[in-house]
Amino acid sequence: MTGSEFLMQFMSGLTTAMIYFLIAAGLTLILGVLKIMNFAQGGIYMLGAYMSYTFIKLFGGTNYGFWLTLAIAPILVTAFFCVVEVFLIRRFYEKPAIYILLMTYGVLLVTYDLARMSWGWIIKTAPMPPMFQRPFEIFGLFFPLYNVFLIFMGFFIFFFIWFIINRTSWGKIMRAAADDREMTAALGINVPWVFTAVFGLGAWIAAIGGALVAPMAGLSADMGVEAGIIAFIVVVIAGLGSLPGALLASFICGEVQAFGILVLPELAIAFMYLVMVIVLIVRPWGLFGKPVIIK
Amino acid sequence: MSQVIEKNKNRMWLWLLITTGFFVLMPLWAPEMWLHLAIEIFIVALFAMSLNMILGRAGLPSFGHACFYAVGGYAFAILVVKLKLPAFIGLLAAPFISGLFAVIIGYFSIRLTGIHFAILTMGFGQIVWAIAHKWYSFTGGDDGITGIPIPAILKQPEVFYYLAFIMLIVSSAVIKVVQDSAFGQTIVAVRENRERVTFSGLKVWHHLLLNFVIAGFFAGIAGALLAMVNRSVFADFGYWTSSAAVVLMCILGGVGSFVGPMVGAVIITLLEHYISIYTYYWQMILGCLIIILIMFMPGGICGYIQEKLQKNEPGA
Repeated sequence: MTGSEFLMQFMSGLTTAMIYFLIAAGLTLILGVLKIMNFAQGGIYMLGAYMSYTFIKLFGGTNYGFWLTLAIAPILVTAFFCVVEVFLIRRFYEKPAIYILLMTYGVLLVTYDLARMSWGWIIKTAPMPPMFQRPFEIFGLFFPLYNVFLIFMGFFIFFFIWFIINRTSWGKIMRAAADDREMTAALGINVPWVFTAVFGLGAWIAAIGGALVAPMAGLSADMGVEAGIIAFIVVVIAGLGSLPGALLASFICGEVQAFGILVLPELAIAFMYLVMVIVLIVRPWGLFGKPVIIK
Repeated sequence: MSQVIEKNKNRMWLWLLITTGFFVLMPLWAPEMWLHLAIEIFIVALFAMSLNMILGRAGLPSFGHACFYAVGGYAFAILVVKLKLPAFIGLLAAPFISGLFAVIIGYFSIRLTGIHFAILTMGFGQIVWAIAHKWYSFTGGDDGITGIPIPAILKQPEVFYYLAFIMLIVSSAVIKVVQDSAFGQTIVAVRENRERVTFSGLKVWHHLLLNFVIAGFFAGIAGALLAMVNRSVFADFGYWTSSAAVVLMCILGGVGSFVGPMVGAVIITLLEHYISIYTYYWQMILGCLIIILIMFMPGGICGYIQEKLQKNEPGA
């Protein structure tokens, strides 16, 4: 393998990794703070993609329209899922885990068929905004500009969430609520709304992930189920609720897949599972997680 | 109080007799299509009951139980198709192979509870699915294994009906005996207060693992029966949505009651069969059902009925 081939493969792996990260980051946040598994996360991602497809079409596929779409579509999807959280999920945080697991699965099924009802069964593709319809040159190699933008956005989202959680007073409240619900409530903080905000932030990340993927992938209802399982695997490898872990896990999965395909093309997505097997056997609590063994 | 229990017990035996009699006599009058549906219900009911040993009795939310179902099916198919063994040996061996998988997966996941347990079981289930889905030379990949030969006599739906029925009755009797034994009571005690059981000198971990393995064993029987009746097996039997569906059956029927999972299995199978005739959007209906169920009837149907009965009993 020559250097340029290596670089091309590395960049394509990095693009995949960033898509995985955008899918998984919201789930990581929700798992870390709310301690729930949200199966609907894949559905949020899918709705984000479909919604931005509609808006990009509505704005006639212009540059301007693309940026406007990125601002509007994820917010709409987020608003919808905040309502879902308030009415369907909120009251089960303190109940056995199985209720929320099953509830979010039910929400996923509903979004799945909602998408098929609203956007039909045929695979859709959103037009690429004109400003990204040219290649990007590094070291004499040409690479789709949009992929570079996507990689940039992945890192941007990572720092954005990291900043919110670790460097703002909101983040402090979130961490406090995650750590000790009752104590935080006793300090006069409305914990249920903090949880709604965290759920909303997690949903927004998944929705913007979907919106960013819309111009470069075929959209179908099945992408939600697929994305759900990708988010799940990344989170398991990362260690539940660890954001840097999610970034590293996505990076490993993306690159293992990009280079693995050269050796064993028939395995494709199964490479993620391979990484998961190794991690589960060596460190069942994930790369960055803490052991939660109960005797 | 004891009179109430006695009365309920008598009533329970009566109901058991009526339903058993109904199903024993069913092939005499029912059309063939109903028999096929009934066979499916028996298999799925057994599957749901095996999950309830983990979900209801031990209180651990397993989201990878379909993996043992698929392993049972694949074990049967591979033994019969690749090794050319007779079908009954396949049916006998499949649950043990499922049990073996349960030992491995249980070894890693049984130390955890709540959401961590759910995620780990689901993770292992997905790994098994991925292996079945990709290993073409051994499991047939995403084409699955089709055309599994079974003895000619089992091709008659009446005969298979009785086979599945007897398997269900025998298995549920065994599950009932296990649940009522000291071992089964310990599992419930662990669910209620793990620490106390530990301090009373019992090895919690051994009990939970054995319970997990028994559940995997019965899921294996159900899987082998399913492979037998369809004469084919596919990786998607073990996909996580299949695990979620069986969790739904248990919750719908009621995890706190012995017959709950069976009731859930009957309802979901019938709904799926009849609703998917009328609409493509079956998942939407299923999703709404889940939401309504968890919002308004978290104890499931049997839990709801029990609650009503207790209210109506004088002096209870």
